[in-house]
Amino acid sequence: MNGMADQQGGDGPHGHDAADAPAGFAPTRRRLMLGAAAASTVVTIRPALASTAGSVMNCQVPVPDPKLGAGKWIDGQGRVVDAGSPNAFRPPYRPLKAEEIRRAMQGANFPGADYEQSRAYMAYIRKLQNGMSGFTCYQSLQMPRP
Amino acid sequence: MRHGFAVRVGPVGFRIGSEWQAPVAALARLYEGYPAPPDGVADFTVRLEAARPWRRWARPAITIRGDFTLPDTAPLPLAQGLLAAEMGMNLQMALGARRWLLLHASCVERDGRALLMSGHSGAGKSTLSALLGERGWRLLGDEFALLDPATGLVHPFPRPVSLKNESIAVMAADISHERFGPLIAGTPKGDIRHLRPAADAIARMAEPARPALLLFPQFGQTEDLRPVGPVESFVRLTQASTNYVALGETGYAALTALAQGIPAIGVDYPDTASALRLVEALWAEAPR
Amino acid sequence: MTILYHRPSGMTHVLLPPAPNILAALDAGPADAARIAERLGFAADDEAVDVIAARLAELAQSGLVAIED
Repeated sequence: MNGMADQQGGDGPHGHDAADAPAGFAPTRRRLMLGAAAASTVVTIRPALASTAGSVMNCQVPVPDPKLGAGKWIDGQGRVVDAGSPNAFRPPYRPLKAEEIRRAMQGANFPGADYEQSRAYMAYIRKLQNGMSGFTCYQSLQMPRP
Repeated sequence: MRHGFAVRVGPVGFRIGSEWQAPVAALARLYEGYPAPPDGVADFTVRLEAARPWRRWARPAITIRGDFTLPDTAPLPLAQGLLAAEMGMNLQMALGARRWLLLHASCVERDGRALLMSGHSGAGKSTLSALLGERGWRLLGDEFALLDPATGLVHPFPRPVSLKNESIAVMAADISHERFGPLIAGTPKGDIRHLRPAADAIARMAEPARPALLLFPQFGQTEDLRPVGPVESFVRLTQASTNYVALGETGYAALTALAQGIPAIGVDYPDTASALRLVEALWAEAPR
Repeated sequence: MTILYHRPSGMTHVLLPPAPNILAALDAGPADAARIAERLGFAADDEAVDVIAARLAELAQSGLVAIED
């Protein structure tokens, strides 16, 4: 194990154990340090490749993935359904670009699409799984930016 | 490939092949004065290919290929061929470089000491580094800083600066048009125009520098400075690195050394004049 | 905050208290939540033990501690 701690509020891994707890270390402070049972205390650093590559590249998401069949429509929940199904929309005529998706994530509509249609496309994009066309692109848009 | 161009940028040799002549001609003009790869051997290859065979002529669209590629890459119109080549070179570095910890940061040098600026796209790090590069600093790079894990030094990667939107006019006001590439309008990031770095940045591209100060610039309503602790610096830099996880413990050691070794400051600035003033003031106070 | 590089997995983790304290307490040898609470200087009351047990589960999920049945 190899560690590094911030000075600010830094309770380093080797700073505390019962044997050398600083004198006068109030129980309330110790209680605070424990936090709530539900609060997460471990965050794992994930590869940032998608985020950085996304910022240098220009990617797109076909809606729907051509592998799911030609001529399919997208319903309001983002499911891929047969053409002409009720409460479903024609897919966009070309893949959606990263910048358009970024704007749609902030509430804008896709070019040429109305509000309902845009929400349906976004619902489809949010459900993308690894291996589907556009998954890497959408991931790159979700990564926290440095 | 029918057309080709090879160039060395810092320690990296690139070869760009293209099915069209125009992007290669634009590269040759933009990279005037850059050396060729040593012994003519490139580290990375980028290929600009037609999205479909017939798309070489009909509404020509470029697909970026090369040693390393990403899925879901959108083709670019031929008019944006220079941008496609630049993106392809960036991508080879992002996906393929293993000799350095790659940080998505701009970097300038003075007196052998390097100033790193990291921030999300649009934070102004590129424009700031380009401006500093015209004001007594040597530009090491506007996009990637190459941190050598063995020495802790940053290697220059002085590619042409990718200027966007308003910053194009800011730079064009003081700099000879000879150093600019063509205006590339209507890209996914708006208007882009490349600027060849000053001659000393190219002549000294083999000279690394020791990091001395790390800034996280961003636009803000008012000027604000905020010290950033080593852990926060570290975490932000892992997210700004394309190969931190891939380098394993080597990356960890290099990045902890950097984050603990130099001061880091978050800088909010309302305009470029105040940004430049703040940078100079912080640099003057940075420990030597 | 503490940064930790875990050699067996090659993963980097950011730890917030009390996770680093729990790992430090385990330097003295394997222990259950109640024993860790004691090593950290808490009265081994139910609340402290519950919190530490939840943190241990999280650390185990990240592969940083192993829980024996």
